Amino acid sequence: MTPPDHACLLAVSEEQRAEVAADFVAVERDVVCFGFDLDWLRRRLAEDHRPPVEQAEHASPCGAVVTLWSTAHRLCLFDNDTLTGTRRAEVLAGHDGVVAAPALFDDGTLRITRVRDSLRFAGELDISNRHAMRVVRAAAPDAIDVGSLRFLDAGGAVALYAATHQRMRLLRPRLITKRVVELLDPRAERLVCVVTDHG
Amino acid sequence: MARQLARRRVARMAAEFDPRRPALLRRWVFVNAAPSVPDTTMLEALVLVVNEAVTASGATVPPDMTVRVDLRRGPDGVQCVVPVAVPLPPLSQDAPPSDAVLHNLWLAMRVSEEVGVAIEPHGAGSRITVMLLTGSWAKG
Repeated sequence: MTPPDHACLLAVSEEQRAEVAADFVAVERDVVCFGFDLDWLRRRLAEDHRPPVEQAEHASPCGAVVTLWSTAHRLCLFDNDTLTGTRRAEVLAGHDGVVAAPALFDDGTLRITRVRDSLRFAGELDISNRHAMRVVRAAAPDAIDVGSLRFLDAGGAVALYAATHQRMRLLRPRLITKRVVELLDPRAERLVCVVTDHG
Repeated sequence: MARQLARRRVARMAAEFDPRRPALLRRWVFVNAAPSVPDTTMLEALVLVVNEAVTASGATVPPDMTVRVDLRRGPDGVQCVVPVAVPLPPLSQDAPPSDAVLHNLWLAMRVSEEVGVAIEPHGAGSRITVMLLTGSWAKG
């Protein structure tokens, strides 16, 4: 299917916005960003080992948080909760299509997505979203990519441990995350930290 | 230069946080401790332990109550003080506490040798002090 020339995303979280933008950069050529305050995008591109994108010194022509402009397509990323009903209708009418980027869980702090047979965590796991580990229990993945998990509290690590059925690899953990997991499960009976990108 | 000057000054600040939604707390500690903690990993370790101290304190108060955090930043390091509504036993690095509220704090304090935790009686309850002392990691 040919993607729309000029699509939009009405993002429900910064992690979703970053994920969709990074995916666009991964497949498109010569991408230029129109927008400011793009630390969230640079961070995600670095986590995904993508090169930084060129930033134009202009705001998004569509009034989006950012517009990504490649040789073939434009993608405008809006934050859904900042749009009024009228403005949302204008945005939808002004674009050829809407990008769908579903998650297994996304509360604005932690986003869990399925990537082939694995899961990917992005954001922060703490007392406010420990219940999301039910997703892990249900999915029973062999591995979770935690390269974009920027905070894991001890209770979150305990919940993750309790949610696993068998040994599970945690790919690309940050140093503090790795330390918390190894203190909790020193013999790696269930949670195995894998620092290299390729597991 | 500005960072070096900020590191030499003593600054004190306090704020109240929802212990059941600690994301804002973490931003606050990160931003306000950063001038004294140039090492990002040390800063993340400090943030983790303060997060656990506030989560532990939150387990002792009704759901609608906030938890106060006092932060002192100076050339000797960073200190955060978190009040707790109930008496808590002191923590030892070597022995895991039987108290479930304290177990996660105990786990977090073992992440970094540079981050210390002290629990003292305070009125009818306790006070958790989290300290990150300036060490060799802070040079430069």
